[in-house]
Amino acid sequence: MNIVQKRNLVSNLLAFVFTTLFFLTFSLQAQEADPAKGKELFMTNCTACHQLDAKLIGPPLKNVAERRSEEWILSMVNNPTEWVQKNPEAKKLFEEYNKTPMTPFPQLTKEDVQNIIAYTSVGDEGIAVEAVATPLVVPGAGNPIYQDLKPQNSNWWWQPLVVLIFIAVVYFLAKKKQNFAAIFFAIIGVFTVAYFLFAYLLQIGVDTGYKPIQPIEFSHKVHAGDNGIDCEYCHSSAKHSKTSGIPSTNVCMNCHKFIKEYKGEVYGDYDKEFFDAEIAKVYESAGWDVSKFAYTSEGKPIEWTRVHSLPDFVFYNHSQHVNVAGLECQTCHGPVEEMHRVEQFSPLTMDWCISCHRDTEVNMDDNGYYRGTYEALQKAHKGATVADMGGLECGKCHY
Amino acid sequence: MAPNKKYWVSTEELKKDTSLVDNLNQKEFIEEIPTDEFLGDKERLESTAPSRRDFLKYLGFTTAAATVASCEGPVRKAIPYVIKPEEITPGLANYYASTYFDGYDFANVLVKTREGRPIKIEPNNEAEGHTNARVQASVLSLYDTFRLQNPKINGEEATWEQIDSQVPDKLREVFKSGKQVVLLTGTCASPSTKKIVENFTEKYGPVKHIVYDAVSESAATSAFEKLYGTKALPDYDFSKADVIVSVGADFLGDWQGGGFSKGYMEGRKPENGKMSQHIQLEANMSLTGANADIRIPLKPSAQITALLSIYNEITGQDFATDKLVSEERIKEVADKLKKAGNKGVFVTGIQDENAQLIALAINKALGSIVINTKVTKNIRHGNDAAVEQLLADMTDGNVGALITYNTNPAYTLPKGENFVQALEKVDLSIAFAMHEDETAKAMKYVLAVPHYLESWGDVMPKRGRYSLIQPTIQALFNTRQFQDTLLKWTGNESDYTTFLKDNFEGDWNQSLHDGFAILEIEDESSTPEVQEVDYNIVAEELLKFEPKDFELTLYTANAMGDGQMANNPWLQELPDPITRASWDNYLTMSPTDAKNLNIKNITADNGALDGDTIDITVNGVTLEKVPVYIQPGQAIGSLGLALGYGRKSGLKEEMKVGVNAYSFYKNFNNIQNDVILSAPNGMHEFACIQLHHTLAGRHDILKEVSFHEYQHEDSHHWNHKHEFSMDHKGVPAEKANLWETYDDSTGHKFNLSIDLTACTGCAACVVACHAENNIPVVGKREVRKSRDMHWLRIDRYYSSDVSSFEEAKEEGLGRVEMYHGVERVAENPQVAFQPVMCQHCNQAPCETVCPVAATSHGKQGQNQMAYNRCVGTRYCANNCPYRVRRFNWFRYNENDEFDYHMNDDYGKMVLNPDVVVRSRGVMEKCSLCIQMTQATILEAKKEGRTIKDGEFSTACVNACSTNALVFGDVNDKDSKVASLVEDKRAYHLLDFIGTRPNVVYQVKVRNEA
Repeated sequence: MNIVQKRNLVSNLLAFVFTTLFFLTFSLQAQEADPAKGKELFMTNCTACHQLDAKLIGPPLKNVAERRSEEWILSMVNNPTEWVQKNPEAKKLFEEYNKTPMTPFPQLTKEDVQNIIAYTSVGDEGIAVEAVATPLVVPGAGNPIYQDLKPQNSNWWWQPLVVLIFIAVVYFLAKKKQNFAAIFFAIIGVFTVAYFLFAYLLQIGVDTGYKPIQPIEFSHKVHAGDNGIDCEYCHSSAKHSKTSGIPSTNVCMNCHKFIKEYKGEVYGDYDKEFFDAEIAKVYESAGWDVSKFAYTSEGKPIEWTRVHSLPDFVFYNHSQHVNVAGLECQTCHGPVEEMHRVEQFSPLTMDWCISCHRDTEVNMDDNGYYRGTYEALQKAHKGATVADMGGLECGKCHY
Repeated sequence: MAPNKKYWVSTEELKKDTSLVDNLNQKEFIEEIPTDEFLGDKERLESTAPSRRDFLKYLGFTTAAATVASCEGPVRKAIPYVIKPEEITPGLANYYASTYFDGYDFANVLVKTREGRPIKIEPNNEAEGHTNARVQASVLSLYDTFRLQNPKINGEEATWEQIDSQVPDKLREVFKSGKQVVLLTGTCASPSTKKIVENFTEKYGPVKHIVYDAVSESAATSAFEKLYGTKALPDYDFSKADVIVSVGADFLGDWQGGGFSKGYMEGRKPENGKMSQHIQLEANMSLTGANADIRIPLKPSAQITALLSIYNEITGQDFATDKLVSEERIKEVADKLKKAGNKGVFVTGIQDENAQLIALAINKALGSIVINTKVTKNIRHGNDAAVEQLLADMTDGNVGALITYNTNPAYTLPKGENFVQALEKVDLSIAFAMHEDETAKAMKYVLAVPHYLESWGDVMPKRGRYSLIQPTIQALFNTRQFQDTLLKWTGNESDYTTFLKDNFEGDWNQSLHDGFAILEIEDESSTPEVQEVDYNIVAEELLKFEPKDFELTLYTANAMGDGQMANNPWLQELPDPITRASWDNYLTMSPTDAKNLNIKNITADNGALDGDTIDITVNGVTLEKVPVYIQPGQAIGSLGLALGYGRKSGLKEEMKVGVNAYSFYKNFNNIQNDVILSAPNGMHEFACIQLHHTLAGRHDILKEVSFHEYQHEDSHHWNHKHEFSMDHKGVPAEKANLWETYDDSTGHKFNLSIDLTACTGCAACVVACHAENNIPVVGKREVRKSRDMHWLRIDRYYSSDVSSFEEAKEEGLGRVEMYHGVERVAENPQVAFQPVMCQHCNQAPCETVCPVAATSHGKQGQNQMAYNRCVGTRYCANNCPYRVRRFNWFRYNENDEFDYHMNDDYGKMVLNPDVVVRSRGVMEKCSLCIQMTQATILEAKKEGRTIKDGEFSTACVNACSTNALVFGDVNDKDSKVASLVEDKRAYHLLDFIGTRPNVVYQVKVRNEA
């Protein structure tokens, strides 16, 4: 047993030594050139103009070490202007890329450049990725066809059944000459039907949960949630104007000029290729040619399907609520940063509007506007609500 | 209301036994809904299809269909820009300074654009801009689908390449042939265009540039040239005047380019203790005459003798005394003028050089400081003689090429058809035009030019004043500016924009931002050559205009002007301030003459006006079936007819209304005495609203006081406030209150003050209101039924001394005699204007009767109307004492029956996106522009500041050039309106019924003494 134990021990020891040595080779290599560090540097310094496998403003850098010597690269990075004049190859590149001078990076050391070169050699695949994001299973999101998410009555059939039962009962009673009971049941029946009919009619035109398919599978979760882009970066007129504004394609291009590949969470039945194609739709709209890294055509606007829609006879002003009242977008629009495809969160009924106007206190202290003719009111009414200020008057929203 | 006056709006009210007016007074909706007629006849009811059973089926089906259809909402698109223009934020308006000048009206304007669409014209106050009804309406003409959308060759659509390849060659040919090349334009007053034409001449050869104004001021410019050496118009600053005497000059209208009303009203502020006196001697009842303190009706020949008499009195000369009958009232006028000395001014509207010479001579003799002969106006440059010469040359075949721009001689020349015939002898005819109008139709090449809101340009309206025109929208159609085309043909590579910029001296960006620049005027040390004028000959020439039984004065209507914008439904539907008729022109005639000629105006049971038509022949030219409108105050023996109507080409069928009075415009003179009238030969239906929406003859609607009384008597006498007895004490009507009052002491409380002294009745506010509030146009047929939708109307009241009226009533028992009385009263009534819109009552009668609470009171003083809540019972309109509510009898948008701007995609672009377009079956009315007040409040909240006086405004207030309307917050005690509400002239309309309105009127003051 002991021997066996020893053998095990030896083998274990051997295994440990070898493994350690094996890992040491890695770390030694890493000390020389670390592709992970290189990636970090690449992302912060180079991505504005370079990608690994495609032309951007500058040439693709995948396996650049195979084409250029380390010294060449270092010179180009540290002092490109000089290098372009000195080196014929560099000059050729300069001509090829529309004579756009490269930004000098004198702060990058030789080691940094080596790390970057290492990264360009191994690429993203060569770097140990912590964990591949497990596809999130969103219930019901599997079906890309339009889903009407209005609260659906799965057991709607009982309603006509109830009506039929009532009719049958009344008929039966009438036949039995039970007139009083028949009339009694008839009245109850009519009221019941009227009650449900009224409830049904009330929700007509209330589109809570409306979640139309958009021409581009744009995920608010990926943009606003995962990447933390501020709502007002895209919906910039919300604080100035009555409309929050659908961002024009040029706003998309601020980022997507450089982000042409989908690297976010893959959800639903979609795959990465699908999302890449969706990004390509943005380029089509902008008239952007990825290979030439230039706007080549006029482009055409994206025809989004409108989710939130108030009737024409309602005047609603975003800036009033976002800018003056300081409301969060989510107060009315719900957790948009968690929605892949946006849906209508609030009912947008008048009842909903005015119940908020009834409850919300107006912050008069921080706004100089209330210094004027409102001073008396301010003193008299600490905590005046929107309703107290006339926020329930018809003419404030209907004109 | 002066105690000794009787107020009336129509001669119908003066007739003795007529129930018509009472009926109209008592009913808001005159026409009964014919339920009894239908339901009462059982047989008919049963025989008509659909039967009652069918009806129930339809009802059931439509209810079910509507329910099913409403379950599924429509899918709406939201389409953003590809690249958002930096300056555009959807939902926010941008304003651009620009200039309106069409050869007739001039205005420095601000253009309000939303998402790149111009939707409203405002006066540019920094540039002292003022807008009239036409300038206000000009934004709708941009979206006119009858505009030329492409250049045309021989009536066929063509491309600009074709034009550019054909025309220059042909022009060269013409130049080679040695025939004349004539450029005929309206006044353009543009320095850069002048330069471009000069370059064109250099390149091609001598081009004869003839300027032609449809409504000529050539007489005035020529007269000015004779006396002062430059061919221009003098400027007048009526604010400096003590006495203004006008012989037929409608200077509050379009006389010499208009724009005098602001200065005029500045000199007539009773609260300043000084008011000019204005005496008007005229034939037609003009806007100016209506505002005059003293108005003397004189037919044109009598105006001429008056003109000479006044000249004799002032200068001490005695020209043609043998022919002048000394008249006491004219002598009085002359005395007043003489007494005023250099603070007197004399103007005349007679388009005759000699008359203009006399007027200038009178001002010279007075040493008038009102007239400015140094800073002259350039907005009329027409040369009548040159135009007549051109016509002769064309007929003789001497003209090889004719290029027209911004002019329509085929319509505006007295013998337009001669012009069209003579065109056949012109080898090359090119029209630069916006519409395929009468002239463009007859020309070979028709080059589409853009609207001014799509154009660049510059105007020099008067010496030292330079205004810029800038585009506020991309050209809607395939058009090219006149200047661009000329530049191209002269081989100039640059476009007009660059040319304009290069030729501009000064700060371009700043001037473009401001819309104008003030240039230094060079001092002319050398006095220009001045001709000696022999006034004996002048007088003789003038007296050649002999008195006749009927003398015609041609005038321009307040709405239509010279007729360029005839395809503009806002202007067509704008009621004339005096006659209250829209969609027409007509011969105005005095009641006496009408009686003698047996011509009648009949008011139908529903208030619609019908009138006899007659044939009128002037200088051998006959217009058939011209409707006659009997106009109180029209001088006996005189007739009036508006120019600018009777257009035949380039406009919608419905806009082809009226007769072309230019056919009578012989020698470019607005007075004509060779007139023959036929007997009445038919009936014409007017769209006249004078008896619509009247205030039921209640007294104290309009209050007036003489300047003398205003100064020396307590306001109690002339602005009496009604009192009621409460607890045995007299309490002002406004304090006696049955209702619970609102606490409106905090926050804003809007009041609108309307100064009846300052309101000239020009109706710019009415059009501004139309544009701001998406008010539909309903068409002539509906206006006749008193279904006009104007939220703001300007009531016109006639008044006459009660003595004569009472006498007439007492004397005349029979109908014929009664007519006699009517004439006497209606011979020369005084006129007053009163703009009436929703009075925004604090205790509103409309609110209490609405069964669905669709109309309610706002804390800020506005009476609010929720259209989506309204079910159309019309109770509110029936209960409104001011008759300001308007009912949508039809859906006026997207309805082929109402084929105006709301029925086409271009026209709809003018709609204000902040105001909802109302649907059929709802009531609407003035909101005191709540969308504007709310926007001002929001702006202040966003910036975290209080609101200053003057920031709150409404569309009508912005449009008013005389500041008759003042709007603001009365809770801001320092505001102008707060002091006006307390003014001794202030009164509320019908204050005794206790509605406590938020609109307050200021008593009209007349300087009669």
